[in-house]
Amino acid sequence: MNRPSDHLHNLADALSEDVVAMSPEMRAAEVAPEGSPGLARAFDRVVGRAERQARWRRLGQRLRALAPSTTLRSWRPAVAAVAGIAVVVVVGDVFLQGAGGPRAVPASVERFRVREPVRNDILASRRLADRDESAGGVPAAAPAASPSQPAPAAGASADAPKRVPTVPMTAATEAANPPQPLAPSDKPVRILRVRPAAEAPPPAPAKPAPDVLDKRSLSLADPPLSRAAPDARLQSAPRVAASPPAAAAVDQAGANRNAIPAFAWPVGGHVMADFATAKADARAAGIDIAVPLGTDVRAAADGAVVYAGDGIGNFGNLILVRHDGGFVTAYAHLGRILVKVNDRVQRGQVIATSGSSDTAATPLLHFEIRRGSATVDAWQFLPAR
Amino acid sequence: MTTVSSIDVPTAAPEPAVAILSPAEAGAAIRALSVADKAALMKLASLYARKTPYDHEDLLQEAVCRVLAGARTWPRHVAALPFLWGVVRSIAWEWKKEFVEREADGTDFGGEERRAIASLDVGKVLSLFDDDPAAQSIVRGMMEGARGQELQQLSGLDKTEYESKRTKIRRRIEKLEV
Repeated sequence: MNRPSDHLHNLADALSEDVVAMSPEMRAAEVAPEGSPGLARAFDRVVGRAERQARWRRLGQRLRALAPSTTLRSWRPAVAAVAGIAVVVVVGDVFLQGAGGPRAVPASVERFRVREPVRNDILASRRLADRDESAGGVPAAAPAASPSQPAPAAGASADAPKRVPTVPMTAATEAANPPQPLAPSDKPVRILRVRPAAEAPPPAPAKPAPDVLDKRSLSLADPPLSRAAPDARLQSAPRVAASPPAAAAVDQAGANRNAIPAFAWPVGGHVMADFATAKADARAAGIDIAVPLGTDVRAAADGAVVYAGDGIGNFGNLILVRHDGGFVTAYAHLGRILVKVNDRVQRGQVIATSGSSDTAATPLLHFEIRRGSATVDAWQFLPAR
Repeated sequence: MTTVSSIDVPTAAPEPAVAILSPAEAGAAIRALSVADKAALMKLASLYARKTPYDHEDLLQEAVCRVLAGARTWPRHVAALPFLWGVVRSIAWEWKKEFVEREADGTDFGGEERRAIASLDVGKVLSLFDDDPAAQSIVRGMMEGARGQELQQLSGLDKTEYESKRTKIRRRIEKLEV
């Protein structure tokens, strides 16, 4: 017995045969009544998209033809080799540290923790900032800073502690940059480390893994705070950095490399599929958010547009935005794209409208956060809803 | 005892190569389609997209893309409309088959919904001809796979009446589809 869809297919066959068998004149009279110019324009749009898609496919075919068949036959051996190397490095590190040093936690593991702080760390730093703000005092240093370290006093000079954990303003700099109430803004605030330029790098304290602790404090201070942390002292950090270099040197490059941008949700809406459920489908390892057609899609964080178009198969109209810290966000199946490549975008800026382009059956936004070449779980970086 | 030093194998005459259009020529031929042919292809794609989870523009785009990428060879002696119709038709089957397989693997959970929608579509198409039992019987025959003479006999109409019924059926269904 035929299934209903087979019925429809048979019907389509029967009706199509009639249309195809007609003479051109009869077809022009029968098939193309008054609405045909609109259909023809739609056809031309479809062909335009198909031409772009075909160019990408031909490029892919050429690349596959050029690559040695042995190396690209399967990606799994390469992944297995990389994973094996990583395991050897971690195990070797544990072995070496256990044999020769007092450090309990292997550096490799600690490095992973530092580079990808879990959500709890970010929340902890935000809670601390909130608490300091509500107390009306000077915010505490980064959470990991040791209580034994003296807080930088007003008027601190070269005699002050050489390692400044966050941005302790001196009386002079505070007078020059009085704390100002921060208007609610979507712009992320980044903590920058300021170190007097004339001083030598801080000596390593005599405690286990000083570099690790230092990095940890950096990592906890680095996640840009959301609008919930209007810290005037933090806001003044870039101004200090803009002062003559003899006064302070800001390790901004390092901050950019390690910073985790403050991501925001690009749209509101119901999450249809998230990273965990969609991981089985390689092209859908992100979050699908159901939105009405034409909804504003906003940049999740400050960054630069590195791709805007529909030339990448299965993603429809797609925007890729590069952020600090090696992050890239992807916004797929868009309707109208409002930015172009190399545009700088701000967090919350409208960059497109939602659509249902390419394989999306219903209007949705497919959103991914990528770090390097891999998709990461966006829930780790987005604020709670 | 004799030994055979060499064997003469009669070589078959090489088959004449079928002349095919290059992707550039195919692109030019598609661009040069008449307005009526373009409209007809959109309508045909719409008919076939009904049985896939995708849009008719997606279906047509994939068909044109495969032709332009060289994945489908276009014999020179075949006209544009029949050729593109064949590509659209085969891709529609392919997509449907893919979803049936995914459903069988347990990796796709939309099968029940699609079957329900397809049943609704069948009912919707048949209800278009509630006022015309002869046309409805022809549509039922088409859905069951009957063609040509058999379909005409099934309807009990003469050739002229049968042709006019088919035209009426096509127009009504096209209004429903696009």
